[in-house]
Amino acid sequence: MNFLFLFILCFSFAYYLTGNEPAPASATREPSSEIKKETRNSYANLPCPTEKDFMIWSAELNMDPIEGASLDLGCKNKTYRTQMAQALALAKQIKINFPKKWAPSVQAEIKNSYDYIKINTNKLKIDLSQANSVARNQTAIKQIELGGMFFKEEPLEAISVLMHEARHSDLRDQGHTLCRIGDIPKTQGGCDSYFSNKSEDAGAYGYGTLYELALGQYSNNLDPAEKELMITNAFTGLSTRFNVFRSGLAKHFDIVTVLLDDGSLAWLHPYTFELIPLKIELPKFQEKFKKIEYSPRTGSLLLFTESSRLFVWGPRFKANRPTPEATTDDDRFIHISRQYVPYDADATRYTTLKTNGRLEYIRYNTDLNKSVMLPYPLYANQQEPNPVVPNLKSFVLAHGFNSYFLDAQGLLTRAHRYANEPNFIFDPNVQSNTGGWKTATGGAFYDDLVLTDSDGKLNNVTVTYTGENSDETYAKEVYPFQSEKPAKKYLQGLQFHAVLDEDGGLSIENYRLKDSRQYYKHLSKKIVDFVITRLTLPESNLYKPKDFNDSLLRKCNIKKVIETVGYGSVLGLNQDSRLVAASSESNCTVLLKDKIWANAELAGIDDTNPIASEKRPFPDVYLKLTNQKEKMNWPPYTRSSLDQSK
Amino acid sequence: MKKYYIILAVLGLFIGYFSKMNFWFEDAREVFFPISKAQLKAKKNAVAVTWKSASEDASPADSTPSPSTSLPQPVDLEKLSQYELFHQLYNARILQEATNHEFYFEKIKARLTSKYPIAVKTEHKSNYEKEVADRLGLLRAMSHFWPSPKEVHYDHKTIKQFFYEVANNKDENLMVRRQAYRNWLSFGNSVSRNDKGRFIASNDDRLLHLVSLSDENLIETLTESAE
Repeated sequence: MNFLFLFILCFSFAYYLTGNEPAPASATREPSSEIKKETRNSYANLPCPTEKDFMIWSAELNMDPIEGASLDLGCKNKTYRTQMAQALALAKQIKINFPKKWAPSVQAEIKNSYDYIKINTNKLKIDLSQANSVARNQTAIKQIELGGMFFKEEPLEAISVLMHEARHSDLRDQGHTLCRIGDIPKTQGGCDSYFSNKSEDAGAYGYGTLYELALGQYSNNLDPAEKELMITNAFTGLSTRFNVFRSGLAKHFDIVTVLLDDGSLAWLHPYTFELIPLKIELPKFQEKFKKIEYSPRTGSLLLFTESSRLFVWGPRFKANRPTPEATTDDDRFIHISRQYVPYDADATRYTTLKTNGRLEYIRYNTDLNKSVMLPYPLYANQQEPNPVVPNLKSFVLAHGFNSYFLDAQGLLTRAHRYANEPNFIFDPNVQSNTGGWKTATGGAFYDDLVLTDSDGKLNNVTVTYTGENSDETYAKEVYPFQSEKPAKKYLQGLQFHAVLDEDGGLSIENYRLKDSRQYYKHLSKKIVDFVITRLTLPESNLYKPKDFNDSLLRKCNIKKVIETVGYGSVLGLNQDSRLVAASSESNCTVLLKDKIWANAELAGIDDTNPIASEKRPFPDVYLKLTNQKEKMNWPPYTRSSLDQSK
Repeated sequence: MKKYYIILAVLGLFIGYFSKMNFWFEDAREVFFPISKAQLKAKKNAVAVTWKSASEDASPADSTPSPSTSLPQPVDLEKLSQYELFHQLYNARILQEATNHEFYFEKIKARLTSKYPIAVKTEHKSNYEKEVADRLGLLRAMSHFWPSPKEVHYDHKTIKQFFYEVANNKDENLMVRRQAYRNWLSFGNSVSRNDKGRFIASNDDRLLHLVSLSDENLIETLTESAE
């Protein structure tokens, strides 16, 4: 009996001691209440500060006294007093570890939430008689007044309210205005005029959105749900509380950037075929360009020089090395593209291939507070002894989440986004029959995979899911868009797609217009590379710019606007229902002379489309070239393109 | 005799420790009671995640649920909002529960095809904004936990068609449409090229540009200093 008793005693003791070890998922499931205890977004879970601390904060914020029991008795009974104290305690606890580049002027202010509130508050008044009010700021005296609804907010939301109101105390706050879009249109004071990430002009909703993003990205100790909620709330606010998007998110139009055989760059208008020389000065080096790529994220060109140096250039910033803190002047590059990196799901990273064969990706290091180059995990989880991926020439993101690699022979290999799958897969069904693929693109949304073979034919690879396990089947097919002459490179834009042929000619087709293919070939120079660049239309999503006039439409007899295509240019129908490209800087150009667009038949466009609708009679876009650092002179219009068009 | 007491005590400690850690029974359980493919997949997906019974959350008053190996009851997503909803999605990871995929899909579909409340801005965020955030959260969670048809135990064509319908709903919030279109694009390419062409042709370039930016790109665009 004694033996049995001792055994049970020791067994129980050991069982008890190991109680904190996580049990396998299949054995038991942790009760939700235990998870909830971790959240800071519930007053029930927040620690109760001491009465002394609360008194100090009250004095610092010049806060009205709130009736209630001493906090030293605990916060078990939820009162306005305990809530206020707990929210302020949470504001003091929250620390945000920003990277340097993250909205620098704003981060300096919101890094310490409590301090920001303190600095911008002369008095914190609790006005419970305003039962239906959340908060307001008597900005003249920097007095923040909290109403009854403030105490119905969850803790993180309550702090966000205080940050919002604190921003109003700053004279640089742009102030609220009449909402023009969103959930409460025509509501006075419900929106910021525009989103800004600068302390010089950001509004209170802007600060709220940035604060939520910061909490979601870089705050300490928020659980996954809280972080996701913060980021999702920020995205929501972006679409409801700003009349004008940040220009980087506003409406864009496509423009072609071409690299000519003399190493020069130019913008090519996709409809009028005006060629605008693009003069880009490189820091330190004066080299000709030999290859170009495009980054939609920053709206910048990625420029490879003859000596394989890589530079990034955008209309709003000078040419520089990509991520200068992570690269050097000595680095030589063959290719760059944003890719998913195994073990690093849910985010794409700039991945580079250097001339020394190294495949690396750029990632921000929180400890070093700067971006660094890390080796792409080529061999991680590799199931084959001899990986098939070395000796690369390029790679693309395609099919949503696959990274595809082309080796020097043009063989295609795909890497999955998730690390629990074999990293690199060679599929014989999707290889070229004519000696390897030359180029590949994932398309404007990275959902396609279009490849150019050595004969200059375009193919695309499709994925279908079949069977109970949704097994993936990859197959290749001839792509419906082909060039007359052997294709060299194919790209998709938001408005059109284009293919460069080996003769240096460019075929462009608008998605919205049936049979709209145009062909451009420079009279004296050869196009050796191209990209489809997106240019932002400032303040384009709502307002008709003040300097717009309809003289352009009158000049070209445009009776119906089909599309506004940037540079103050318009694509429309004239009195004869012919398609006309009209540019403020050139003559009217009748496109597709042999076509009569009797009914302006547009592919898939319905009457509610703001672009096609006659309810929106005039172009609402006009690119202000004068704002750009690189002064561009419009060349005299030449008809070189159309003279050669088919 | 004392020697036997010591051996027995050590033995008790030893067995007790490993019993708690399920060292003995984990493999044996699967041999004698093979789990279904769906359960196996859910288990595979549950990497370092502590799970809980969803039914426990449906009745918050019940704070002492008993551990169970039975499959959890699904959570009624239609009734949850803000943190309560996100907690289920991202902490409890309910969308990983393979046996409930159809149930959750139907709930999400019902929510995203219902009408929005008329916006009333009583709290800091209007009820409309909260509904937008909830819908966005649901779509983002679908993208996160169901990134491809392989991860979903339900008809992927139905799910893909749902994404397409949300993306094309011109009454829907812009960011919700953006997420739905991103989900649709990344969820296999079994939808015809015509559908994609129709979407591109009939939608504003601003939406298309937003679609082309990943969440990370979008945040970088919002927060980058160069502009």
